[in-house]
Amino acid sequence: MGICPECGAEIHLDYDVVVGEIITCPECGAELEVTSVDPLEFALAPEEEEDWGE
Amino acid sequence: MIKVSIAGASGYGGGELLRLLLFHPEIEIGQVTSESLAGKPVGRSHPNLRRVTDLKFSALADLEPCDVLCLCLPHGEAMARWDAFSGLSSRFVDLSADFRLRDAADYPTWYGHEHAHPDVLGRFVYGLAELYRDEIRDAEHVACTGCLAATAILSLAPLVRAGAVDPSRLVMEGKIGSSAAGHRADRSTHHPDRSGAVRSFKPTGHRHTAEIVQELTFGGQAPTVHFSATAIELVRGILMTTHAFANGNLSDRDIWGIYREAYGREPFIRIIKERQGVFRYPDPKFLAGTNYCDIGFERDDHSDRVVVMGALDNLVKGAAGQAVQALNIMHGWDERTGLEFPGLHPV
Repeated sequence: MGICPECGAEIHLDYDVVVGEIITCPECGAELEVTSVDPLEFALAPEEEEDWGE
Repeated sequence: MIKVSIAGASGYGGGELLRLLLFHPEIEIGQVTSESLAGKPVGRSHPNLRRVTDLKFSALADLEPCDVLCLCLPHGEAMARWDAFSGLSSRFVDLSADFRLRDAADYPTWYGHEHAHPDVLGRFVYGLAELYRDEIRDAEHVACTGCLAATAILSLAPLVRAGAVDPSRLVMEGKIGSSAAGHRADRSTHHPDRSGAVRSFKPTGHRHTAEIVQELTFGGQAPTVHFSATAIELVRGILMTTHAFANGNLSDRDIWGIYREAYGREPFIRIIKERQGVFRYPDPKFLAGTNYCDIGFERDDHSDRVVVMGALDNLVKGAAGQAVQALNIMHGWDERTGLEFPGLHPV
């Protein structure tokens, strides 16, 4: 079980992941990069910048 | 099967309730009334229901006893006719404002008239399941909320109740579609004037303020609500944007936690706050016909402001869907029965 750094949701994965894999938080939809598998830890994945209105 | 009749079914709220109840597996429709269309098929007023039902409108005077009487009449009518209605059923769901406010003294202030039956007010439970589920379960009388009020209350109640924001500074801007004005046309709804309008129709003094204050009062502390309402180019839908101000440090995760605790198991509340994509925050466009209330938020990194966005369909979660949800709870049925429609996209 890991914690989403965006919303604090508890994330349980029923499949194996590797460091660097991108998953989506089921609660807030944030894309998360796996930074550790044991313990399971995440960081927010980089976002594409948008420039609406410019 | 439970027999439900609808008093005042030719309007938008009554028509929406009829649409939902016609497909409810536990309910049969008794009568639906309209004074102006008595004897006419319901499709005359609700073209979406043509050949869905053979029901015809009845006059109020011809109402017969039923298991539940839903009242979808103009404000003031339900209280004025209460003596007649009270003999027709033991259970009532009222979609007007007539029984929402607990204090009869608020009616002259906000609705401009005395309450005709202040003795009845105490029997009614406010219809928001997310706040009063246990009370609704045991209730025989439910008063559905105002549509703008429902959006504001559902959006803010968790934060105010948790003491996360200052209740003395709640600034609310409600954007609302034309169906909320009802089906009776007047100059303000005339197409050349209404179409394309972004009209500040009630910058202050909107009567739903009374409900918002009533339901955001926690621990005896009444909030100060600064509420403005604007008509926009929608037929259905509300987007309520509230500017609240944090009490102390408040992180995104704190706010997520507060909403998760309040609404994590609610079938019709979704917290919408996504970091990527086009659909990051609640938008009533995608809620038309659904019973969802979507809530999102964003903290202002440059101040203590927290912007909260709430969206719903004023005719469903803001009225008829809320009534069906209450009926489900009152009768011990699955709360989602008859309310599963997920909306349309694109629409």
